[in-house]
Amino acid sequence: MVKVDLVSAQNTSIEMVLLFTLISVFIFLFSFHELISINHNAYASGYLVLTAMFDAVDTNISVINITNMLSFNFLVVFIVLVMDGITKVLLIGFVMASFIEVFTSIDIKAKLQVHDIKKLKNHVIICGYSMFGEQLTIELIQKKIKFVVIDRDPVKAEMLKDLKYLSLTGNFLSEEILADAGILNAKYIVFGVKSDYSNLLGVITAKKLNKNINIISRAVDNAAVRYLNDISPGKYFIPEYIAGNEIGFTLLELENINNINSNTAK
Amino acid sequence: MKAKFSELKDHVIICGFGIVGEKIADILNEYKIPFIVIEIDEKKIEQLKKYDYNFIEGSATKSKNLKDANIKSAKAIAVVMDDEAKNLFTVITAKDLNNGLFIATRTNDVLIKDRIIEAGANYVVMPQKIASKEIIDEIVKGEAK
Repeated sequence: MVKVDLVSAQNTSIEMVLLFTLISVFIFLFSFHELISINHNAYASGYLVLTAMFDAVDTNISVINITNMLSFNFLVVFIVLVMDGITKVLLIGFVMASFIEVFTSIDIKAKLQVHDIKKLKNHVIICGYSMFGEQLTIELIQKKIKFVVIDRDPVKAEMLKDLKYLSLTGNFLSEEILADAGILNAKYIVFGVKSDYSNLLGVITAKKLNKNINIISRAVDNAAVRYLNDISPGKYFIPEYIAGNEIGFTLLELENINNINSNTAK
Repeated sequence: MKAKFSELKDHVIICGFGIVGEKIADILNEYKIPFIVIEIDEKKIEQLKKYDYNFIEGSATKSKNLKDANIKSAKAIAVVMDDEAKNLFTVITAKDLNNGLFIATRTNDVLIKDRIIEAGANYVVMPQKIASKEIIDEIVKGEAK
């Protein structure tokens, strides 16, 4: 999902305000120096620069001469103008910085991806980019079957983005995330994490949202397969169990080959 | 125990009695192929006793335990512990003790698969890969409907 990192946004806003203030100070000093160099006195130069910088350009300084510049009224007006300017600088700085930060932190690509996902039909939703999930995505690409991956790990989310897979960052137990993954139009949902509890909860949530979806889930324990089948009949498997079968029958074949060889030799 | 297993010949040694090891043992038991399990975990030892399977209590990475399992007369070894490093060490030790032995093992990493083959394994299974292939077959069947 699209997330705005508020801490980083605040830090960047402060950095931008500081930068803005530094630029303002530089402009002030530069302008002040320039005015003095063309025979303006320090008061007039400072006043001119500050009023120009802080949007008080309509102030008619011609009515203020060098004598009343030292008056109490002048000082009050001057302080008010400066305060007004500082407020404007801070306000504009913060608003600009926050606006830029929020704008840049919105992942437009992710937004577009959600839009693309919602257009999918008869696709496969893979819940959890585990070793099994990774292997599954490779096979799905080879078979040209469309899929969406859901994983809550931000590192994996980045990896999935780099791979240009349609993906969502979040918990697959969330109905909102599953809805974003297009569960209503999906044909299969695969739960591939190494936790029977998470997979079980995932199956319940998926069935609640789409009764017709085909469920495939990995399991760690044989007992979990029974629970999963009780909740919803589907394809449930234990990868290690399949591997054991594979090795067991390979060893049997080896035995048979040896028997054939020894019989032939006889 | 040593005397008992020294009579074994053309048997299979199973290193690790996890899900994979247990499944292999079930298949070999069903087809009456002699086998012996090397396992270190106490709970699994209790299970092995319950099933009345041949076993050696200890680590399969130690050559002494492999020798006790009469590796020199064994036909094959299934190195199926849930630890990539232990599997690799056991494959190397097993190859060293019996060069003609058929070595089957498991891994979850493609890179490690290549290394294990280089170390002497004859057959390497990747549980995740096999499982994903089964799932794909299921999905493809569904797509065809």
